[in-house]
Amino acid sequence: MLFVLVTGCAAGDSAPSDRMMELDMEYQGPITLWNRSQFPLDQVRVHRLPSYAGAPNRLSAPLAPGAAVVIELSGANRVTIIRGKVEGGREWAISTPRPVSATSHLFVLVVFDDGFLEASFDEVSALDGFPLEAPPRLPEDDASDDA
Amino acid sequence: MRRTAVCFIVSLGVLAPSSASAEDDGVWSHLRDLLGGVELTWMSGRAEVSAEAETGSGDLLTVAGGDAAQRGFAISLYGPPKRSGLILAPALGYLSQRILLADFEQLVTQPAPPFGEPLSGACSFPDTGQPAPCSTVNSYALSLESIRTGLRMGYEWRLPYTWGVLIGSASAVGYVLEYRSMGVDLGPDQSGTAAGWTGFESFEVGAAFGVYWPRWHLAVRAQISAGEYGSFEFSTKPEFMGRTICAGDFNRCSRERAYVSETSLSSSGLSLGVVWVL
Repeated sequence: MLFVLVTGCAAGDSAPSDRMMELDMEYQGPITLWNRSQFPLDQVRVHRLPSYAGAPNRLSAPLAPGAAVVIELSGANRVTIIRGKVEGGREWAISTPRPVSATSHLFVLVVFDDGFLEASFDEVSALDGFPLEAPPRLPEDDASDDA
Repeated sequence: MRRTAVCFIVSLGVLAPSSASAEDDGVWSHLRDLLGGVELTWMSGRAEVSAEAETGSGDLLTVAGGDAAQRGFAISLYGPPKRSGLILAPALGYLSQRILLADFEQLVTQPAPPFGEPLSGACSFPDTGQPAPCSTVNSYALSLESIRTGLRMGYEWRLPYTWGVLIGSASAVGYVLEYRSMGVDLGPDQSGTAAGWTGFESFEVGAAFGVYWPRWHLAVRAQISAGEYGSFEFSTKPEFMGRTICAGDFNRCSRERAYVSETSLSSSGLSLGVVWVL
């Protein structure tokens, strides 16, 4: 009987934790995307479902190798980049296998030729070639500047 | 780009009409003596392939090494010897070869990153939505066509019997003028082409033996040969995955992008063939 109670407590504890994780993954706000692949990125799409079809492109221009860009996440954030598989070749999409675990504007998603790395701004800002000097600004930062 | 081939060459010679009618037509007789006959050659075997490519930083890399299948055919002028001795004859021919390397993908092992959480990619084609493997397959398929003319020099011998004539030769062919068209397919999406005239770029050496049946105007011979083809620049340079490079700050490795800029071929062969008689 005691065993059943303990088990019940454990199950009860895990549910809020899962919800917290889900909430964490629903971060809405800016992050940095750093292209460390050898290819220019034609598109970056953020989407809730595994399929990226129909998701808008977040880039205003192709992102060159080594360049970084600030993109806005809008919750349940799966990221897909689209580029030519080879120069002049067929379009090729590489998606994160799950929503990225961004929780703040200090999150950096590094794009490689065949995958990604989740990192923080502090971890990458000192690396050679990182093009940004400061993390993306939050709307409240802009508001306080205005005040 | 370099290719070393072990090929089987089986030749079937279809000869010009016999000399019985030559007295009636002096021009035809001279022409027949000059050309000898038409030889159709089938080639099949194995080849070793390597390619040189240029990276974005200008380094030249050897890429695409490996065994390759080779097949092709040639049409050329050839006449069996009328007597044993030295020969000096014109050479004119068409060659078509195809070399296939199915895949020589180099798997890149990723070390653990010094920080952060790696995420493997899920790859697909945006136009269809179909999933696809993220690894890049490097495959190599070379098509070569050549129309060429030159001179054949060497020694030929013949041993007549009642049922036919045994023939043999050891010769070298230098091609004075050649029109060559090459195409190379790298992976499923990339191709490069090269075409143009060249001179004194290719030659072949070889030894052959066979049988000649004068009354049927037919000969069959097998050949061991080696050939050298000059270098050719690609007008469109196909992209290729080169050496593995690692970014130290991330401990991340990938195949470096490279572009095949030119190709040169060489082949050497040992006859191990199947004879096909028309």
